[in-house]
Amino acid sequence: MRLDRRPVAIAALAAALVTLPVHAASISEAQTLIDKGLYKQALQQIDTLLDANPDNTQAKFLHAVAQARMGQTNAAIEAFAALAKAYPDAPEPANNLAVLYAQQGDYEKARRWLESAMSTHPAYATAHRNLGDVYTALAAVAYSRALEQEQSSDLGVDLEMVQSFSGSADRGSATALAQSARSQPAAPSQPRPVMPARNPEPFEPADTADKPLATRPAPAPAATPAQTATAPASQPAAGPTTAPTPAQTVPATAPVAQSAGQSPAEARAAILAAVENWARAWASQDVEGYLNSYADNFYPGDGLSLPQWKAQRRQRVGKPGDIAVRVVNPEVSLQAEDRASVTFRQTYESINYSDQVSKTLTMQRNDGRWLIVRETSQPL
Amino acid sequence: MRGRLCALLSGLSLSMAAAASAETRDAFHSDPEVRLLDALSQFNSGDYEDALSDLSLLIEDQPDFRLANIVYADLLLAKAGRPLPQSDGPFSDKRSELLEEARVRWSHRLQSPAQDAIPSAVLTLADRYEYVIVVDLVRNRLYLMRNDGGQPEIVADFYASIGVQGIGKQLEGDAKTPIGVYHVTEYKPDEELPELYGNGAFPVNYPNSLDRVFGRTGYGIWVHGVPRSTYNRAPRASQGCVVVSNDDLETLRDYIRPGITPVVFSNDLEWLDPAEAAERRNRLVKVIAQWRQDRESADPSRLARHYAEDFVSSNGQERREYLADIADSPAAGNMKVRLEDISIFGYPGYREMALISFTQRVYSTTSKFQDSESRRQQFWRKDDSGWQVIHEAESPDR
Repeated sequence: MRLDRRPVAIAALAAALVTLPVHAASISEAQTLIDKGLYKQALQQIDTLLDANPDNTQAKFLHAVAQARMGQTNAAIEAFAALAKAYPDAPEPANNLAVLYAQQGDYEKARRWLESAMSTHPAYATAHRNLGDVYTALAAVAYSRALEQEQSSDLGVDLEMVQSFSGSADRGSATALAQSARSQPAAPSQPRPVMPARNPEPFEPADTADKPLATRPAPAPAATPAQTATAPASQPAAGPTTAPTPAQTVPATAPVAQSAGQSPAEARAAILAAVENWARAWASQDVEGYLNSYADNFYPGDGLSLPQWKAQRRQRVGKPGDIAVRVVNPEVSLQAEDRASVTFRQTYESINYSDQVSKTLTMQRNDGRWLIVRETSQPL
Repeated sequence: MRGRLCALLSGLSLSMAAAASAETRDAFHSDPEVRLLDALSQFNSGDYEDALSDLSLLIEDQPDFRLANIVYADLLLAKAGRPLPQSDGPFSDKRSELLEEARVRWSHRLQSPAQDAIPSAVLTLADRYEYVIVVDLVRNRLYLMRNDGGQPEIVADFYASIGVQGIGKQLEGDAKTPIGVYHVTEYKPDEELPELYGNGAFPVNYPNSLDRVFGRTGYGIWVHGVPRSTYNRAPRASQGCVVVSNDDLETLRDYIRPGITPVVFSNDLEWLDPAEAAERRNRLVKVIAQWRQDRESADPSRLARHYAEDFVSSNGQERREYLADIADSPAAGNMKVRLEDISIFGYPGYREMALISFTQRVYSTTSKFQDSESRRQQFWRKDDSGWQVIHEAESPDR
């Protein structure tokens, strides 16, 4: 395989991004073959593509992915390393290098590559998750040394490899979130890696004056045993709902009046931004910001009145301790000029509890702001 | 994240206004400890990334440093947002030991003796002692001190483990570290030692003469190293010995003279400013000067007033007999007594006790007896009647 070692130039970058339809089809065919486990065929497909287009970065990246999946670890490492060098701002080669080093048990190297990916893309969800797993693996090794206990040989660490490469330098926008979503295998979400079985330690609530980590959205645990109640205890509404399921979408071309001043694209962007703000307020326990994401006619469901629901959320969201909330693969369905729904995979983590659900927010546009009027979850 | 580590290190009183390091500025400290405490300092100031990367490097260099490993592991899990592992049974004990170790190390960083402070246990040193070891049993700290014109000055200090049952050895097998003034009797090198003792050992002369007066039993109290599976041991871990890391023992080896170097084990160590130390020293200098004068006197009652009712000598003589022997000797009243190489120790473990050691030269003023010279130790106690000798013996060191 020929690798491009020239420094990135705008033209090269553009070339990497612009693919002719036939290449796009081949790439996505190859991705499908990989998802299906047909690595040899995938490699053949990609080799053909590379013969015609030796500079196609997507193809080079995918080639390395296929090699990694086939167990050709050293070749894959070499290939990803070359891509990382050529595209130092891209998180995907760094992420995948970390995955391979972790497979080899070199967690320190994995950590460094992931932290490098995070430094250019602080909101890159996959690297973020992987880093948490690497920290856990490193911690397990350190604990076994500290407490002089035998280290379990199977640390249960299984990092996520990324399968598409954007080569872009944007930093943690909604695009990155969406890309990380595409990088998931097509199969339903894998079970989270687990530490050797231990119970979480009951924990005294942290000092409310403690400041959270300033620079990273790194999750840190909350102090609330109460949140371990029932899954998903943190959601205000549970149980059967009439919200659209993830599978259901309204075509994007549903009638949307243009006169209100937002094109569908603008509306989508605004909705995604609103969702991001809501998640961020929740995770950083900004109770006012969180509650302001909801409309005055928000319907809590579950037998709660709006004031009751607000009081409950105020208490739960604001309780001392740290939580992490992630929005993955949001899909917007515009239903009217001022109505839409957003469905995404929501992950929630606190010290004693973590879960993933399929969350749907029904959004309404009031005075130019998109606010939540209904919120429902489904198990994944 | 901060809250979690604070919960873990709750005994440490990490204050937000972290002290600029108060550590004795010029004293040597072992590198892994410095690096660990620096990382904790960084954590305290909110530099979590620096703390983590420094700890990761420290652990690469010193993978057997258990405390560094657990701090690192807890920080990693806090950062990853995962729960700390449940500790129960033996692991819970290990975790508490590590927490205690962290606490004593950090306490020392926050509050160390001033550069010119004098330990209450060592008020003056004769020239023959180039170095002295002082162990603060309560704070798990071993100080190597240099004799600077008679005053001890800190050269280095290290974290030290003591007996698993604590302080104040009385009996054989009680697993406590003794309190007292001793000296190093010999050096045992690595090749002669079981692995438990690490790379070297310095036995000390417990029980000393005073311990025997009090009927204390036991033996085998050493200063030694650690098995090579660990960097150091828990604060209370040994059968009574004082244990330091092998690196620290290596350092000490260059300064300790077997047969000579005094070793003080104290449970009530105070660090005095030079003026206070001088005051205490001078009071005792006057006491011993008066004793010397009265020792020369032909009037036995003058010497007698310096001896406590419960005085006992090293060969078991009680006050009356001992003083009678002195009064009856041909030297009585016919001699000059000179005292040299005077050392004064504030004896640890008692409210007011001192050990004064010296070389005593007796010069006859007639031809009736020979001049003599001996090295002597006197144990003085202060009570309502003032300072009095409770025990006297030949000095055991060379």
